[in-house]
Amino acid sequence: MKKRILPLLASLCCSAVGCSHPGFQELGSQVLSSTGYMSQSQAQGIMSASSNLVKSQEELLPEQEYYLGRAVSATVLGQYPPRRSQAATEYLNKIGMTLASVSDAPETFGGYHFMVVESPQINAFSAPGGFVYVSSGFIKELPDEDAVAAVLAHEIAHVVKRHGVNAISNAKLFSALTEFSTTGASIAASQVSSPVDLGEITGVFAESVSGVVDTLLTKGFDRSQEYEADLYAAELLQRAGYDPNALVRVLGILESHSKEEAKDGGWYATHPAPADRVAELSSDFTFPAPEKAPAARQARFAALRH
Amino acid sequence: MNKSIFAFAFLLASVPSAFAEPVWVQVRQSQLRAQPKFYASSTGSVRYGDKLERVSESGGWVKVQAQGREGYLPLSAVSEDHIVLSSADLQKVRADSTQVVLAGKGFSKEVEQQYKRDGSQLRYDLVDYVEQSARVSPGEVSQFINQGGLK
Repeated sequence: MKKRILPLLASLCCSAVGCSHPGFQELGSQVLSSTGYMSQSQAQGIMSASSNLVKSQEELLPEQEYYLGRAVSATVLGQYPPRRSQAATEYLNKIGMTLASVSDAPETFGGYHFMVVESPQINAFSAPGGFVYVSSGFIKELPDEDAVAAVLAHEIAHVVKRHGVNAISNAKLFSALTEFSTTGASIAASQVSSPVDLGEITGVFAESVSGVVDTLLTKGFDRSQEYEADLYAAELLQRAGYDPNALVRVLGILESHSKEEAKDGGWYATHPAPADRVAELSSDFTFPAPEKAPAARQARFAALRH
Repeated sequence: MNKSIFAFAFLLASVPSAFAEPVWVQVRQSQLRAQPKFYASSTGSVRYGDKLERVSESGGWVKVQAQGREGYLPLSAVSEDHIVLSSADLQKVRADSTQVVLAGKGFSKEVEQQYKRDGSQLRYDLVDYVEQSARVSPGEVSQFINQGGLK
């Protein structure tokens, strides 16, 4: 009996030390379910669990995203300093958290932080981990709370969908990070005795920060990522109780400024044409009838504006 | 043959990682909630690296237990990877069969300190200002939602 068990067991245990052949998992699943000792779903559950044993680090962990977001912010805030208004910051964070709390990532490692930054440009951007910045020039153009929410929802979408982090995914990065994420046996044997050189990982870190900053301020995300962020923003607005039509109104405001602003960079240099975004969004999202915001919501926006 | 497969299945069933279904807190800190809602009342706090037992999972929320406490956390706050907070603790999980992640490594506080030394133009002082000032309590947001006719 032992001879029969051991080869199969050895094959499956191989996954725990880094052998990633998918056939072993499929074989185990078939054997367990075909014998009737377990249902197909039970067997697949075990195999699904075992597949977790062999993955290498293919995405940043929340803690690593947080430190990346702090570094990106340290560069961005040098160009766009925070507006030191407690009332504006508080209001923006209440709107932002209303939206983030209904997203698929309501909690990040260090939490979300929303801030107005000083710039006449019409611009907004988010750094990994949940740092969201809106320019004072953009805020000035927004007519109501729902419009502010639409801008924040778009930026939250970039955070939740990890678009900033995707901008830097490369083999060198994950090769360096995988040194810190492995199975118990190998990490205990190797990692403690031979840590990765701090200078080397800092170099990879600096390259990654540059990549994200370049994407946020100069190159922009892919058009598909912008459309994805628009669609997710519309969903977030609806989930939170804001009017999703506010997003179309904001895109209309952007459209009306597009010619003059395009020369100065900002949002227009890094985003697809607003009209194209409205067309794309309208084909994928069913907008409800426009809704007038309750008096209390209008009043608190007006109080802060004046 | 049947006996051998039964024994194998029994052996697999004995592997704790496949059935106990622990999860680890992957955010700096969070609150266990009495209901699967962001602004539900708290039943206790949890911290980065805490090990929790997963009871059930639904609609973006996981119900967990830890040291007699029970509550809900957003799925984004937990990881199936075993988060280890220090190198010393790694020795204790040598035989652990789940994926192990060493916290505080990779892109970390230590790397940030080195990166700061290399770049004098970096405004980490402003980042700290943003983190300290741009925050509101769950109670304030909950009140804001109610007052503004939001959900």
